[in-house]
Amino acid sequence: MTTNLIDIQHSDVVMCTNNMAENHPVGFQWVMKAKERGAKVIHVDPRFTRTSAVSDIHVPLRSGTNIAFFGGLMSYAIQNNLYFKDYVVYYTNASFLIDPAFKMPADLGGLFEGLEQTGKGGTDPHVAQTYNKSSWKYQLDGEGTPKRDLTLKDPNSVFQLLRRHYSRYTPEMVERICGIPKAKFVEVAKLYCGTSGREKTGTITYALNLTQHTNGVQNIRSLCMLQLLLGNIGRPGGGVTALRGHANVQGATDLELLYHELPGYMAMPLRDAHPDLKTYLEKETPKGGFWVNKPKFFVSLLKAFYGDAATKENEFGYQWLPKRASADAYSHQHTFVDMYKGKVKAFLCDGQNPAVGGPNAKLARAAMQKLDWMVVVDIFLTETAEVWRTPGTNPKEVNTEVFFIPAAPAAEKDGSLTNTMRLIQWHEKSVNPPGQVQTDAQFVCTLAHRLQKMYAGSKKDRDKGFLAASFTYGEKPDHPEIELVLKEINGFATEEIKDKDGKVVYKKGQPLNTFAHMTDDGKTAGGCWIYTGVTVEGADGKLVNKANAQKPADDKDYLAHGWGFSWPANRRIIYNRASADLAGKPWSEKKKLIWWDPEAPGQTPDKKGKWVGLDVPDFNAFLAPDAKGGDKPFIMRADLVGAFFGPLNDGPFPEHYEPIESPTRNLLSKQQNNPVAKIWSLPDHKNDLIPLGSKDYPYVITTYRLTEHHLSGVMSRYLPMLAEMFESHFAEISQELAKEIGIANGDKVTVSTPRGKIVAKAMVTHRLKPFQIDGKTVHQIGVPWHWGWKGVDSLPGSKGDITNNLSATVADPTVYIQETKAFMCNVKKGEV
Amino acid sequence: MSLSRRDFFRYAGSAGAGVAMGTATLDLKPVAAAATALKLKEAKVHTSVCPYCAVGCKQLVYSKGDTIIDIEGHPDTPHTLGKLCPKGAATIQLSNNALRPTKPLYRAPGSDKWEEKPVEWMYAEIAKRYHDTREKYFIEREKDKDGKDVTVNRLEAIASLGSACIDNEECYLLTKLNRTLGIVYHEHQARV
Amino acid sequence: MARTLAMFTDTSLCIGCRACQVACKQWNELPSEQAEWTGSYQNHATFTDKTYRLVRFIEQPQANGELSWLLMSDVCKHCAQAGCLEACPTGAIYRTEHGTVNINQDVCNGCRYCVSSCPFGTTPGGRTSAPSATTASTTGSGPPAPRPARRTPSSSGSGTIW
Repeated sequence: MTTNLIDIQHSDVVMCTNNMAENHPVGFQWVMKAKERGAKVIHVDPRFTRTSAVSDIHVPLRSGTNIAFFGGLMSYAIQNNLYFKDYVVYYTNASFLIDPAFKMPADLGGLFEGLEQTGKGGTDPHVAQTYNKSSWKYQLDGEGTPKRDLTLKDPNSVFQLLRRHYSRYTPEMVERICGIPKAKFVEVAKLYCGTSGREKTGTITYALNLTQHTNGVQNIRSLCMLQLLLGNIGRPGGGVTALRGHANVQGATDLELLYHELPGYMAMPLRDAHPDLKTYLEKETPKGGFWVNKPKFFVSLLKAFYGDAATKENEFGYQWLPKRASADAYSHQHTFVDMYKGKVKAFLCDGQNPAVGGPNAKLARAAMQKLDWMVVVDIFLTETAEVWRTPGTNPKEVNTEVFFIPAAPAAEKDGSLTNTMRLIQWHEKSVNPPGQVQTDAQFVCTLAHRLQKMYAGSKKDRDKGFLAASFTYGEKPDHPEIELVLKEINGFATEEIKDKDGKVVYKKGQPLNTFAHMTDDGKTAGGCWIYTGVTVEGADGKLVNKANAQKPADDKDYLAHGWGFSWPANRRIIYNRASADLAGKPWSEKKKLIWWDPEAPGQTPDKKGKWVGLDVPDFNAFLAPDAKGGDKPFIMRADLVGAFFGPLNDGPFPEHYEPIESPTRNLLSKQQNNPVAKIWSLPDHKNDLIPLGSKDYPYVITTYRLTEHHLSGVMSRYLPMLAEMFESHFAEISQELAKEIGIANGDKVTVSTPRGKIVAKAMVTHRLKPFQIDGKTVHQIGVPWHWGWKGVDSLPGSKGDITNNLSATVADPTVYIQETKAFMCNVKKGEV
Repeated sequence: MSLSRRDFFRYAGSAGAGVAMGTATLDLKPVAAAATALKLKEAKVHTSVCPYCAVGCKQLVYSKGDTIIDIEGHPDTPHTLGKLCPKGAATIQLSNNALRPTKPLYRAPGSDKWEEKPVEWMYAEIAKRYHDTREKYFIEREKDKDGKDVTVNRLEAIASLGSACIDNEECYLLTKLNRTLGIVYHEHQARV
Repeated sequence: MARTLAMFTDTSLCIGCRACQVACKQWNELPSEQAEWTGSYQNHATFTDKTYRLVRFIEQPQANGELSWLLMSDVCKHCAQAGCLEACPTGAIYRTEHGTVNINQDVCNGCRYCVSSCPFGTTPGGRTSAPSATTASTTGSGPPAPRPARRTPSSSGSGTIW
């Protein structure tokens, strides 16, 4: 999230679009604090949940229509002049002029200008067509600077294009598409758009409700654009409250256990685009914004990976890195498709349970049953570890060798975790892992050392990088000293570094204080530049681990800078320059966060002026508001301003398209689905999709989580204290639908899709209601996905069918995340 | 003197090691008296972080010998004020659980059961599988889109999944291992 | 009389997360037991000898078409004037020096007079060998079967794992 959980108390309106009270209960107390201080809480969700129970307004929205909803709010703000004008004019690209050749869905029946057929054919729109973005660009003046109209009146200004585009998203259209009664929508629009302007701010929360769609990225974009329009980003009580789901999904993202990037958000090389280091750095380094420093971060990363073997002469080991042949490859869904097709032969599954937790779980299990071998590292024997004896599988027919390594939970080891507000916190080892349980660090280092021994002496270039990589941290090679690993992530000087006057700034091996000290000449190494500052050297020469800092909050420091370390550079609310106006004064005294103090000591003794306040500035602390760039808060963007116009794979503006499986034609335009969504075609009916208007699968289904269970259930169904919280796996069905199909609360029902079927108990409830979509009744059901066939034997409620048997292998075109929040199904009484 | 829950857990483990003390100057006698009546008397206390969701509630973990006996929310945590949700409250059963395997296990092809194997054997065999698969399927060079021969150093035959539940240091080590071996199917829960 | 303590839920804040229900189990080392179907997230119709704290979920459609979902963490209130204590024929229910109400398991004969004397529908003190609705049918109808008397909180039986 761009902001901080503690800061939510300063919101005037909190709009939860996800189920925050149930999935982040302890974080949710800050929403309740805001409420105590007079804030209103809106909950937008197809179901009435425990979040709705304590909200002021519940807005029922059909799953898969979030862009229509956010677009409607943007339209309302623009039409009624409720946007924060100065913020929009100066801090965003609203005033920038766009190439007149650019055309929009209003003109092109739901498409943007430039959709081309690739000639590669097939049923995968992502492959068959692509956008030629040549018209999606700024008009430039003679010096290459974007032309602007600060009055926002030019018809080609981003603002006027935005107005035109979202003028189609009227309250009537929102009612037709989302099923939100018009009066309720207008009530919410008035309330939320009221957070615009100097004196008020609002925050919007989201989680998988926005990500798990073929329009996922654009869903999130539309939320961000609304916040920019209302001037909420970077201000107390504002921001984008992205609520992540796992103890360290943020850390794993930052450290890039992801196919497309390397630690610190830098692209994984592509064969054709990045044949060598020089070309990589040229193409990947923008001309403006803080990312101009990318070469320093990237070379430091190569030094961290390859140590002394990475030199100027060998491109710092760049050629040892794998290069991707295509960007359309290697994601989670690609992995299981390729595993099923036999391309992936082997598999390490460490602390994840795709047999239950990923989309199209039947496909995933069938794929794993084809592997030569797999290694599973986990606390318990999961459905993945035992995929070879899934009920219905004959183990004799599964030739997969499985190696299971029992793993230790956090209480049994030292380490750091990064939470949803970018806060890195340390956990101490309390007890030893029992028996021969390994920590994951121990597993990786031990395996690496064994492998390095097998490759020892190899003269092959392809092995040199691996042999050069060090997996030894401290005295015991297979048992790394975790703080030393964190120090490598932080970054350190690889040799003595002096300043221009010859004074020693860093000794060899000393941790770096800031990523600003990273260099691209090999003198620094650093595993993840955004973490720099988490470990520093104390006055006594000892390593200070700021992740373990435990200074509580106080009246002067409500954001608690002395507790843990938040990246980047311990800034708690990012883009906080935007909390002040062009002159550096807070937009409002009530909403002050950082401001320019012209009398404060400057960067050098002869200078004066510094950004000061309640947070570390997410900005050059000594850059005056009237200096070049001093009025541009969005420092990570090349043009330094927030983007309404943002060219992505599927468009520069979010546009409503229906989910791939939908109960209705697209009421907004002729274009039914995202024109470049990723849809896989698989043999053996492993990914049959439901066509529009299907009578066999007439109900919308959404999948979600419960407070008391955790994800694929490994950390809850195996724990008696949690497993006993629910009597069984259940499906939530409205009173109306229950009546239609003749079921009572507690009856067993079969929920089915072409991918699979499950049996669960029907929980007939008032909390789900049918939607009226363009005059037709559309029923929606909800099914939690925590259950699997393993659990606590004496607690039958811990075991159940796997909900993800129902979902399909389809994806967003930018990040390839699946569409498990909105698809279609059938529901029948009994076990069918 | 009334005893707040915060104060209670702040001092309950004071006989043992580890916890950062608060700054309150409280008369310890009644607190200590209350604490000694509890099972936490003489327990060691360490700080931890809840392993469940991304709120990252800090915890106080009380242990005696090599067994965890209680886990509470850390009352000084600024963003949680010492609270835990039901999952955080259940954390003790991740460690104390009869269902936890404590030995490495191996399943042979076609077999219907697990066999216990020594740790060293496991690592030797796993390393051998990695090595042999890499040798068999490694793609060192291929033609780019213009037909030019380029180094790609990809190992596509081994996929790696997980985890959002392991530490930063472990994520980094796994990324380092996978990328230096040439692994490209390299993912975790953020993608789903 | 000793100063009495009580425990209430501020239902304007309760989000029904059930941290309290699990924390009670964890701190008091109570065994787990298979939940019952109640038609909602509530996992027991009422308290049992293994579940001292129970979060209640009540859906309440309003006249104006809106919905209320009442969430409350329910538990013995340790009444200043405890009906259960007065009804108990064996003297098993007693008041401690803190003012709380407890049950001496070794004396309790499982007669359940306390249960019908409680105005809040709780099992007094949470510690009783009174039968629970665990063995009820899935639709929740029919009288619960009596359980054996003299079960202590730490006794193991079906569905208990610790």
